[in-house]
Amino acid sequence: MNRLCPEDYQRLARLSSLCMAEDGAFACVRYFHDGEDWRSRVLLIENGRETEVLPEGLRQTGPSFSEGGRRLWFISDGKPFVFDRASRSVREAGCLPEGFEAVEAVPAGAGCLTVCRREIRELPPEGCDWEMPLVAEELHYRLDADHGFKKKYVWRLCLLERTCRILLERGTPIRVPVPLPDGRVLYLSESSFCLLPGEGGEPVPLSAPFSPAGFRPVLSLDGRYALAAGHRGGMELRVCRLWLDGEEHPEDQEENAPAGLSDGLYMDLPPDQRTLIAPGAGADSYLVCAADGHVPGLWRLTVRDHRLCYEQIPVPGPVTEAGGETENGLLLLAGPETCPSEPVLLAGGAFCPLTASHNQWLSDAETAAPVLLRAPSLDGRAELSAWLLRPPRPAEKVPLLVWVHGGPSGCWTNGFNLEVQAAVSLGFAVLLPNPRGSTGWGDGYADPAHAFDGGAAQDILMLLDAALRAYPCLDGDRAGVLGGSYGGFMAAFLAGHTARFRAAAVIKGVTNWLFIHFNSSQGGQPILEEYRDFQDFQVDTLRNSPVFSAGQVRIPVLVIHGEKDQQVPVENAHQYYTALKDCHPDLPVKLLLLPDCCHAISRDRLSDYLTAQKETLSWMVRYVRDGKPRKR
Amino acid sequence: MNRLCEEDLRKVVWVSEPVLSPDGETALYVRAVSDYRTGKNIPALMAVPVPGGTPRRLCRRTSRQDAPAFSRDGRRLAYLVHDGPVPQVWVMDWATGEERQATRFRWGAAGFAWGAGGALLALMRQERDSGEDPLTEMTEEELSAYRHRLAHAPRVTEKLMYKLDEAHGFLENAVSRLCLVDADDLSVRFLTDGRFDCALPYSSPDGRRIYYFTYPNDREKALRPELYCLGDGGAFPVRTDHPARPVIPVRETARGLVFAGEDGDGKLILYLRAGNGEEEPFCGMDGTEGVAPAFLGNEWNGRLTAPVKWDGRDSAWVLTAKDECAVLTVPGLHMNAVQGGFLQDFSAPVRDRVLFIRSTFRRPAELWVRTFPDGKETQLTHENDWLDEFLTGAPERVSFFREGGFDPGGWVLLPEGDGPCPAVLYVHGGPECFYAPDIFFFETQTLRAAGFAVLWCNPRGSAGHGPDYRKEEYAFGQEAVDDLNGFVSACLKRFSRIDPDRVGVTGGSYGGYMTNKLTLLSGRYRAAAAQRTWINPATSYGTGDMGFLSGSGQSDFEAYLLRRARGSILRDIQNLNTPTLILHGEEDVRCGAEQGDQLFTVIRALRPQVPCRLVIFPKENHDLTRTGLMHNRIRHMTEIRRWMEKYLKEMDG
Repeated sequence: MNRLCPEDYQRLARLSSLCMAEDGAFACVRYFHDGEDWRSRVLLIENGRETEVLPEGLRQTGPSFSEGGRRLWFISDGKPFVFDRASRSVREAGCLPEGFEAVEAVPAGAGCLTVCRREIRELPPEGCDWEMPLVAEELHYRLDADHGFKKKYVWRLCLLERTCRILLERGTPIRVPVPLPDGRVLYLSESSFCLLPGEGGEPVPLSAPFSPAGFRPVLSLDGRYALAAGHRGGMELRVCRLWLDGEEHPEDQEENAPAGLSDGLYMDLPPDQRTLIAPGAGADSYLVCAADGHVPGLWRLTVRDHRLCYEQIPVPGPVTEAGGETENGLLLLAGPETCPSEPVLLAGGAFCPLTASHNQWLSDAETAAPVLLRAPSLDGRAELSAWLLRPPRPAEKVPLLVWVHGGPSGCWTNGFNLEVQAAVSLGFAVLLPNPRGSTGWGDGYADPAHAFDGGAAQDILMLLDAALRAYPCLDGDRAGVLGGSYGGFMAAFLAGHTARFRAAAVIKGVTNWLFIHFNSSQGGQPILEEYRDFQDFQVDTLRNSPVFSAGQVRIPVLVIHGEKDQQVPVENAHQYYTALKDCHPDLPVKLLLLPDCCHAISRDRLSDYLTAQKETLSWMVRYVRDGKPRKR
Repeated sequence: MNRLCEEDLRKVVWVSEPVLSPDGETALYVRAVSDYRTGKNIPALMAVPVPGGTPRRLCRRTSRQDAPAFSRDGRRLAYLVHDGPVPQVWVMDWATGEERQATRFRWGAAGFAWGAGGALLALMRQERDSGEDPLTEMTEEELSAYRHRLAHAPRVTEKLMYKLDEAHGFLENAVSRLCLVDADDLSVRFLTDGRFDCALPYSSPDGRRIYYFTYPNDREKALRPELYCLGDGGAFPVRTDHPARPVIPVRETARGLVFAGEDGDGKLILYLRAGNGEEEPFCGMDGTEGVAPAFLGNEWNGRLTAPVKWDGRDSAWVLTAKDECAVLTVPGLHMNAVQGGFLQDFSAPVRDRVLFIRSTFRRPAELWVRTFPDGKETQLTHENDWLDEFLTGAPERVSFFREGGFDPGGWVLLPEGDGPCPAVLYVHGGPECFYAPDIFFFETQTLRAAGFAVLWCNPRGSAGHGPDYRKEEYAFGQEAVDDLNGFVSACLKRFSRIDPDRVGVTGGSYGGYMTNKLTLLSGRYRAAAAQRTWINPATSYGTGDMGFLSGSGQSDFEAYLLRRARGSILRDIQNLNTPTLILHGEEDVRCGAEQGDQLFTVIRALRPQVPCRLVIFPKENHDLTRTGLMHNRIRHMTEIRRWMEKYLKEMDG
């Protein structure tokens, strides 16, 4: 058996954006590495046979069928395409306006509804390669995906048939369009869902009991409403009904019906363009993938008497997407805990693979299956949980890594995670805690107040203790802590507040909240306004930041950050690293900066991602696994 | 006559680095003009006969040169050539004019000095941890890979001192290694092992000892370098009573070793160390400290306006500043050798003459020669006579009375005509800098041409008036605020043309800080442009490189951070009503770009009704307005003028 290592990341294929045709054929997008970059290609699967419908495309997204599955629409490198299954031919779906790139394409009638955009920017004189200044006059002028200042676009919603008809033009994003049978178009503007009249005219915003999330709503069979995902109040995602008849529907109010699917249903982290809700068999029936607590699972949602009712469908492993329902079973992306999701049919309580594995190479690799750990919180108010992975052939005493997830809205599940598996291959047990602040257990649990006030740190230590008690082979004297983003915050926080760990890796971590308020893509949050006194704001914020306790850190710390990070600005890393070197000239502290990376390091250049992973693991090997015994 | 506009900055010719030939009959200088396409300055070595004639390009085989220096015997001229991917040293036989490349360093030459016996002491750039031969030039392919790596490869450090504004952020993983290049056969002998950075080498007259500055702590503890001497017994540090500063090369004189050091107050002094180890001040500069104003583009951002030069009698010629003027001083004589205009640089004297570079308020610097003892001065270059066709103005001195205190005065540049006009107050950077009356100040002329009066002065905290005036507590306390406001009041009183309701304020670095401070404290200023501002010490720690200088060795770190958190002038943000333009370089590591960002965010979040605009210049550092790319400098000036026009002119009434 082979041991997994960070480099295996480039061999990993991931599937997403599952959609189904009436005859049981289905399509999805395969993400894979080609040299330094991610590629994505649409796959059509018919009776187990796979076809890359446009093999020369680099970035393909958003497949969807029309005419019962006769044609498959998708976007390839900024252009809409259509594949005809009968003639096996592919062609561009129409001609976009000059300079525009397609972002989304959804079949509508005989053509497709396309969202496209054109970047507006100041250009230098001809023949000069000057970099023009960046100008901002409004808040939220940075965007992580743009690696800096938010790019400005003209957005258009077009209907591509024989000609290109412009339905709408905006200076702000138009997203997830859904054509309605009567010719109207439902779409998401910057802040709300809107209905665009079919005959032209101004769009009308729809009132919704939640703030919309960027998932495509699914239309009911009678076209009277759509099911959409959104946030109501807290951090958790919910599914709500969006009426399209323009009338009030008091029966959907919270006091009358549980309009939100449930308090404890959390939607797993969204890849691009994914179908979160899939149509089920028959009217008013839907499939929803979500993580209830720490397990990604599957629910059937039905609407009865104006009530959203749900039932969990038992599954034998983690489910990441639902594609639809056939008479033979449910089409899903799912898999065992030891490899990424594959297309399967859920029938008779078992997953039946529909294709050959897209990660065949993993069958020769040694992987660890997660086991669930539970512990009460110190205050006894919450039941905490964590996943633990142990090396398949453990040594007498196993060093332990506590790996904290980002967010804090998010949670560790039992889904496959190569980074964690690579750490296990090096002989570590890895504890993946879901402290309070994590999503999946309802808004009370996910309240960010827990995440930042030290409560979550306490939860993590309780789970660490539970793991040490349950598994005596774990070496509590050789524990390290690491994490990215919020996990980086927690690693730095724990490094400054406990003596439980031998080393820490702070990856794109928040170490001074002032940088989040002042310099990040979400800067200028209301919290600034809540303070009457700016000095009080600064002092309180600093006291709650890990940099404040840099003087108390006594363990080697590795600090990793992308220089183009707009979500957690790189200044966090500069200041925290400087503070540690300043306070402890002799402590091993290392700074690794990735010049081209934004917050999503794994989506940028492969070599940078691998450098970060390898540095992190070798830091833990050096100071945790192979570190000298602690003096007592 | 034409009106000057921002684009005219492209036409300015920059004259620098004057050198006299060994016979004193030829003056060399560097002439730099900006390239439109790249925005970079292109330097070329020029020669002009003394006492006058037509300047000509000196080199035929190469096109971009600077840093000229004659060998000690005067037979050869060495200079840096920038034609290739990295700078290399070239040598010219002065008698025949034959040019040849003296170094073929893989990563280029960082500088050089002539040693004894016709040898060159060259500073070779060397990549650490590289197995490549440092004496083989890179191919185009290798160079492109090298540049890509510098820009995109992960950067790793385990040192405290890992970034500098001058390096545009992360310090390259390269050092300057000292080596001896034989100017005849071009053989190379390494003098240092390449572990540490070296600077400013100097060879004793007999060639037996070579001095240089280095960072033996590998920049771990502080910026401060140490002076080393390489002699028969190997390299050893020159222990002195005074922290050495790499401002000038050291020099062995008949009386002993002269080096630059700092006294207890941080004042720079030349010390003489006799053979018996006793040290005494060699050249006191008491009360004459000061630096060229920030906009000069002067790399000697210390307290000397130019490197010290030596004459044949072991006398140091020192250009310093006093009472807002640059003063050329010869020790022992303490005489002002040259007066009038603003001196930016000068040459080592030869025979009875010395070259100097002098600007006036209306003209960029030109090359002059002065002969002794008659004191006759002759202008040798006329590179910027094109300005004769443009309307420019000269400032008037305005004094402002401060009870019980020294009145430094300030300047007002009024627009054409006699109608009412808006005004813009300029605040210099530093704060240990000052405005000089005769410095060429281009953007005041373009603002004047646009109808603005421009006001500037040196408030308490500025350099140029001695240590009692320059105190930091004045600069960051109420004193500087009172002086600036008092000066504006004096201007308004004296010139009724200036509309008191249409006064704006701008400045860079410390000037940006003061711009914000003035608008946060009162509504007097109706428009503001904060350039490369410093605004919040709670976040500037560790982000700008000033953190390395001020933050080290904190015993109570939490208390230190809290002090910084309480020290931001943003505490008065609710008072802000002034439309504020914020300009910053994206790679500014002195006042990190996060400072400009956060000023914008805080204004937008807490004072949404106040107009505010953030303009970030990619790839520019804190020297944006001095050594920045020409198109960025022009845009920078234009942004300020348009902002002032919008809020001081278009908003009339």
